[in-house]
Amino acid sequence: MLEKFMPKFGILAKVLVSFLLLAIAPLVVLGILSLQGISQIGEKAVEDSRESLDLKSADAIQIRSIDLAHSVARFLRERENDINTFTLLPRNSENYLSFSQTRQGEIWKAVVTPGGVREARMMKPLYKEISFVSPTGQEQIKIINDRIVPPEHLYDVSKPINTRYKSEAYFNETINRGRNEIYVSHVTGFYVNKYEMLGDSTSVKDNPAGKRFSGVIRFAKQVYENNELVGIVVLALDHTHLMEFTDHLTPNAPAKDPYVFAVDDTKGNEAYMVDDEGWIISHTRDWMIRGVSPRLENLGEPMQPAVEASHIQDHFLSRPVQLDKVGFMEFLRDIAKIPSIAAEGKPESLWYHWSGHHSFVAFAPIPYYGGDYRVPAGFGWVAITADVKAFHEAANETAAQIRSSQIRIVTLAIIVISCSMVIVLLVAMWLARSITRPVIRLTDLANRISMGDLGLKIDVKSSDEIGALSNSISRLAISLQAAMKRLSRR
Amino acid sequence: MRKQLFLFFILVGLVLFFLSWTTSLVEAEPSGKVSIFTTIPQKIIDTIKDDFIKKYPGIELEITRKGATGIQSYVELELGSPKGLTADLIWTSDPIYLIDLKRRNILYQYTTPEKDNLAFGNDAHNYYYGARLMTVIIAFSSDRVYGEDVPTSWEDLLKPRFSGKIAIADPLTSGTSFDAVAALKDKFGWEYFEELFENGVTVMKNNSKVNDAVLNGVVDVGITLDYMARERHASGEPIQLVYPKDGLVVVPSPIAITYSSNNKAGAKAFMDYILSANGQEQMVNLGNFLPVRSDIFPPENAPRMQQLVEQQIPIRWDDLATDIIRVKGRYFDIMKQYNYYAEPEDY
Repeated sequence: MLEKFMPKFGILAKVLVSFLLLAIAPLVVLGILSLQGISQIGEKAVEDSRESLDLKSADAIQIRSIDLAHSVARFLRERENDINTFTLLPRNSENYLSFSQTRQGEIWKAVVTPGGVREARMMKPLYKEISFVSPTGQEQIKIINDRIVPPEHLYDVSKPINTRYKSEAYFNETINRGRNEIYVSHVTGFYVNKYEMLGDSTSVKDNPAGKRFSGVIRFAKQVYENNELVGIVVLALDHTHLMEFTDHLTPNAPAKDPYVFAVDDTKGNEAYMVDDEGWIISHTRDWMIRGVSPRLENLGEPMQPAVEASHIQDHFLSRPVQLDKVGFMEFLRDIAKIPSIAAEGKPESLWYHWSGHHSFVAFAPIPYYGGDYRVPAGFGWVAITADVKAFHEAANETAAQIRSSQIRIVTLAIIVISCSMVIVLLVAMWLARSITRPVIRLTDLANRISMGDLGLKIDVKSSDEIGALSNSISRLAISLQAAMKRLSRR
Repeated sequence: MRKQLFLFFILVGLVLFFLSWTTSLVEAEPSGKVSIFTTIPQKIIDTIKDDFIKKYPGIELEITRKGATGIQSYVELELGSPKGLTADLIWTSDPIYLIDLKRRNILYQYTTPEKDNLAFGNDAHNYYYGARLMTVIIAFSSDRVYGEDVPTSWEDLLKPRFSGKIAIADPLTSGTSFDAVAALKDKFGWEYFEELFENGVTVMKNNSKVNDAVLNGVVDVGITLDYMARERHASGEPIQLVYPKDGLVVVPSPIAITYSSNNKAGAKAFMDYILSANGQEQMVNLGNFLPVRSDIFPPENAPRMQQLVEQQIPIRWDDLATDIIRVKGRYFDIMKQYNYYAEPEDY
């Protein structure tokens, strides 16, 4: 058989090739197969651990979103208590002023100083405006920013154009309500476009001193004296305090220091708040927040929601975002479904893709049902989004460990295979030479016999087939010698 | 043996040569679907399409017509979507967005055979070519503005005669209006716009609305595009236009082939057609546009190529494309003072 395939090779080569084929090839095949198995198991393990860790992080984010929603609801309910207390206060400027001064909240904002922009925590009144309005709509007492407003700046707020944001209908809404009902408005404020917030830069964190959205949520209630309607009281909650809930939250911040001053808005690890109508009311990018137009030609008109890409991308054409209308952006199609899910009042989460990122969002309804906000949708919902890549960090660590042990196994296998190859080669060579060396000697012997040199001594050492062959040859030589002698005697 | 190998190689060479020869034959006869995104008014582009199809019956021309910002957001939307950009050609109103696309390697470099005949608005690296010219001019109501009142220069708009009676298309939404702002601030400085706003300017959504405002009597003069005013004038409406003597703002409206185009032969055929003498004649006759070729006569009473080159306020398009946010921002800040309501913060 071998003669057919390797007619030109000597025994040495034949033996070597045969050994390699018979011993090394199975070893290599086995090695590759087992390595493949190992790597498959490794990948599976990575996948599994990633999945379980993902689920764990997803759960953690979901719980955080529910927690956040409850804190917001609690905060709003406290404001409801405030207005109930407030209706009982004797109506004069001093009382109102001291009420305003005792209602403060901490905010964390950028302050422009001669030395540059720095971050600061400061106290800010909870209410932008506190007022008492007569049943005709004329403001009687008003506090703005902890200061008493002089009478020449008190207006007839039954006309929306006289209100702070030129469009507010809180007076008519409240006066036409039942005696103990509280009116709670939607977020109202002048819209801030992308340029006003960003300037020439491309992200919010690069321009911390840019303009921010500023608005109010009005709480209003009728006031009675001796069962007679004497007017309404209005507390205009500074929306900044509500935005504080989401503005500093990022899901990938370390547990020890969970809040950051400026959330990196380019990474998709952030929180935002949406009202019951699907409008964004708090976001790291304030130009997405609903608002009314500050431009004189359509002052106070609600800004229309974004319906094309330039309304989100362009610095000057930017518009607020109503989430159920963002389906025009292909990658936001899944997001556009959230408002209808959230309206059912249940926390939920979903994974989605956008421009190459794999993202996760957990959202939870805000269980505040005052004013016109009804069960089950409530005030709206909060959402926490995470870029799954960042979110995989824990899983990636496990994956790295598995991978390093994989690499160890592979190197070990390579070493073992190459060592055994060397050993096989040495053994094969020894074996081949133990055959070829006596064969060469016997060939030489046979040659000399053919030349007539018959008086040779052969020392036979081996007892195998080669030994038998040399015995026969020496017997041949001896018998030849004897035959030659017999011939020469004749 | 060696001879056989030699023969084999010769055979392979022949096959390759034959293949390339047949593909060149196919290229010479372009066919298939060509998709074009453009801002050219629907009526005009439809007529151009009919004429083009007569020359290349094999080509199916698909037109997506939108305004300047509309085209931009449509392209961005497609670029962000999994299927990618479907346009073979993009034909916008001004070069700024195409420069942006060129920098992002979305355009295809192509030297048109018509190149030597084109006098205006071409990219230095052959990524795009101006395919029509528009000029920003002053339009006025011939009913209310006459005699010595007729403005002849940009400076004239600052006269008290026009106080509160000037309209301009919003540079934040209208590309050509932005180009006018960029050119005029280079020539007269930002003070010009401060004075203009001081004099009372009504900001309209687009150039067409400016013409409406002039005709409806909302304003007396408007900063708008020549072809629109010319068309209105030709249809007998009381509107006239002047090419200001202290500088012309000439905006080429460029066309480019996209890198992702699957039918470059068809796209090249359309581009060559629209830049040819024939195509440019169509632009003049159908759209009242100024031609980009000096061998084609412009519409009646419009300046010739020579005059455009001499009187234009040069616009450095590449710099402008880089600075767009800064320039718009400066304009926005000036406009804001006159056009914004300030929220009362303190007492």
